[in-house]
Amino acid sequence: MKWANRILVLAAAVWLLQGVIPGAPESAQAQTKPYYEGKTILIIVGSGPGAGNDIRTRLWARHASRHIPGHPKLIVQNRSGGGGLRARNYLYNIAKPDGLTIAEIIRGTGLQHAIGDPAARFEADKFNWIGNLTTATAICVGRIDRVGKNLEEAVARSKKTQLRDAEAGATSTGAAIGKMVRKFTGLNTRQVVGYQGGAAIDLAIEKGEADMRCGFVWSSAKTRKRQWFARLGSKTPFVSVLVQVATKRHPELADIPTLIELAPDAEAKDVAEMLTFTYRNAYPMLAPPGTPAHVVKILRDAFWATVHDPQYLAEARKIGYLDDEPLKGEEVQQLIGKIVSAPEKSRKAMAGIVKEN
Amino acid sequence: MIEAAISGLLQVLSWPAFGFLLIGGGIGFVVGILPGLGGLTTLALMLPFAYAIQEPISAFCFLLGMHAITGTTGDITSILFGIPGEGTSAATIMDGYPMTKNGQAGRALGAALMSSLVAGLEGALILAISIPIMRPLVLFFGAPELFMLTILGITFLATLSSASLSKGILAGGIGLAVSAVGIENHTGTLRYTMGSIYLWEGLSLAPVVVGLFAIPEIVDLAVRGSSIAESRVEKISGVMEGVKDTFRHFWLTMRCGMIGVLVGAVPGVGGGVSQWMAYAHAVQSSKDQRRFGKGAVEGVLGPGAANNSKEGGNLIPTVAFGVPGTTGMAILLGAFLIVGLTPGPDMLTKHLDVTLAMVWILVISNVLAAGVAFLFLSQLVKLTFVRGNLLIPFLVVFVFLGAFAANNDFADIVVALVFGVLGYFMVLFGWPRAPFVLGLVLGRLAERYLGISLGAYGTDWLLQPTIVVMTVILLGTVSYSVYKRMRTGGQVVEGGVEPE
Repeated sequence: MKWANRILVLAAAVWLLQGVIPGAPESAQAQTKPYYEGKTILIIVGSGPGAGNDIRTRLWARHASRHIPGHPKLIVQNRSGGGGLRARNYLYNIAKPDGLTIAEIIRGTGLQHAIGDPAARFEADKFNWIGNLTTATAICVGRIDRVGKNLEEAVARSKKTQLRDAEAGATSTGAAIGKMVRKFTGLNTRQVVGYQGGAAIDLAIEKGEADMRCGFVWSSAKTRKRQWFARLGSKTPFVSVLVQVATKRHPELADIPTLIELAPDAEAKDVAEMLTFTYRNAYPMLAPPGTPAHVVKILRDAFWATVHDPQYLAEARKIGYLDDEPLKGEEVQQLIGKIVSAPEKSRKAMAGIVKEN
Repeated sequence: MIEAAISGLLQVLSWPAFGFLLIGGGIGFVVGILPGLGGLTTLALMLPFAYAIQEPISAFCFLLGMHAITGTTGDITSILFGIPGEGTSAATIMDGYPMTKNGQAGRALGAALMSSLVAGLEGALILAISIPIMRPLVLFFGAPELFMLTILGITFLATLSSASLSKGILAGGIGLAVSAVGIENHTGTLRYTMGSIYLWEGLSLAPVVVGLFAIPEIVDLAVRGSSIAESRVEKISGVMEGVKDTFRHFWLTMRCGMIGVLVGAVPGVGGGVSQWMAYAHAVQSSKDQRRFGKGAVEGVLGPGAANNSKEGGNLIPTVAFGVPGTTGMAILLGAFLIVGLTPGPDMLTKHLDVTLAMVWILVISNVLAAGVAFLFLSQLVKLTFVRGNLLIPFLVVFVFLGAFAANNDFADIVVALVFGVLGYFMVLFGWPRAPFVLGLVLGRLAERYLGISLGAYGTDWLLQPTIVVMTVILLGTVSYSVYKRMRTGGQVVEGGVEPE
């Protein structure tokens, strides 16, 4: 029995050491077979099951294996909490940088780093950004009967009757847009916060509990609320588009000013850009810092090939992503770099806007 | 509408839609019965099949059928082992598990499943009837009205309080305080998070409920050293007795079913609350409230009924506005888009047949779930006569898997353990656990709707006619309860498993 035990212990030790020591057999095999062959990639989603980015990531994961040499298995796991903060901190501090744990975490990583959020235990630009599934053009809309036809009319009307701007949380990016529009244009609003997501906000506007909202993603508006918009063919339009958050005007919103255009000075422009870049980087995928460069390259190439896969695109269109504009990993890395390296004064101003109630 | 209803039924019964209903139902059955296999995660995992299925009714047969059956079978483990299959099916434990201990597991299961079936049909019927008034109905309930509804729920704390009203109200107060953990949405302030990001979103219901109810029972089982069922009744199952109970208390079942529909129809309230409100109503409307918590069958019928009927209610805001009442509905909303449908007015006109097909899916899946469950009940009941020492290792695994499924975080297990200890001492010192859970579930909602009401209307909403009427009804109900309690000299409701 003693011998049997010793053999078992020895076998266990050899098995354990295989994983720790960069042994020759493993390297030799790596020369011949693809890195991901026989492996499983865990994709952590920083939101709960059923969230827009969760559905989108699961869609990507179903098609990605075809484009990764070695065709690994891909598993999606939800790790929600703190608007993605829990997943970010986990990925940065705990996940092994071996390319077997990656994540998709909704916009905000760069912003949290830039404004010095004390709970953010990561440096956003140190992550290895794999790509961004979709960019988002966000809009502010208001009920036509309360705000009129455009921003100018809304500003004039709000002087007489304050507008109620419905948002999810006080520190949400949607609320930040609303506060910036207020600062930049003099639109007289007060924010009503606490709604559980965009659909609940839309319902509040329909009920008349609120007059307007910001942070409404245009592609989502086109899918869910076509009947609200005259520009989408509605004969009984319900809302007017007031502002858009995009680096350049969306072709379908060519008459609507961007948040950056409305910025009255250079500092305001910096702040507006930080938020615009955040929206541009809507559903980004990332790997822990320290992930080997060749693995990052495999992932970035696979990402790009997958988002152009006809089967993937057909399914994405079905769930409402009508005008996708995915971004390459390198481009996301640049965007994040721009957000975190904004002048300190602008970053402080941004932090003030996020925290302002 | 009749044409659309017939068309909907025929489409559900046609091939391959019906086949998908059977497959989805089968998966839902297994997932519901096993704690730890999260119903929501499974639904999210299965959602992509909608791409392959393509055809809307077949896709809903698969997904909605699965979702509806998960709720029905979730009650089984609550009754047999005191472990909720889903975070939302905990209220059935209150009297279901004591019935099992009394050797009446079969009767409890029969009652839970039959009430679930009857009320599930009621929910489907109400969903069908309410189609023409769906949109005005949902638009009527603004934040102030929803706030008043949550306050009404909070007044049930007194009903669920035990021998000592003060202990019950204190337990409810602690529940309300615990609900404050996390980010405060209106200001973004972090409350009682103790530096842990895990706590930012507040405490998840599943680990709290699993800890609070299941762990004390496992400890109790280990200490007793016997089987779960302490006494053996003549007939091993008594399932039919439970079925008969549903019809003996038919109107209670219908009323609790109605509570499930109404609460389920309120976006964001749904799931966890409806069962507890139905349980409280069952207690409140009983002539002898002392039996509750010790194995009163009405205490199983109430939550059993609401558990299923709420799905009909949940579908109302989802179909009419695309506003999901629960996370399960949020995932189903994804299926709408995948199969090319947009929730909203079109679902009540152009695609009325699909909406009515959903009603039929709820009806048929409920009938199937109950039918299949009845086949297995006698076998399942035998487990409660197995020696506790043999069952405990499996129960412990289920408890921790059930807790872990909430967020896939080790902290879920810690939370379950912490609330397990709390639950153990609550039982030991005769503190009722139901008011605690009600406080926890309703606290966040009350705060949310109060904040929105104040933000949108200032204090003007307090004088809105609907609010004045609701306040009068509320005060009337509370005064009547106090009067009744004083007249009967403070009858008791145990609202929890008695300490040994």
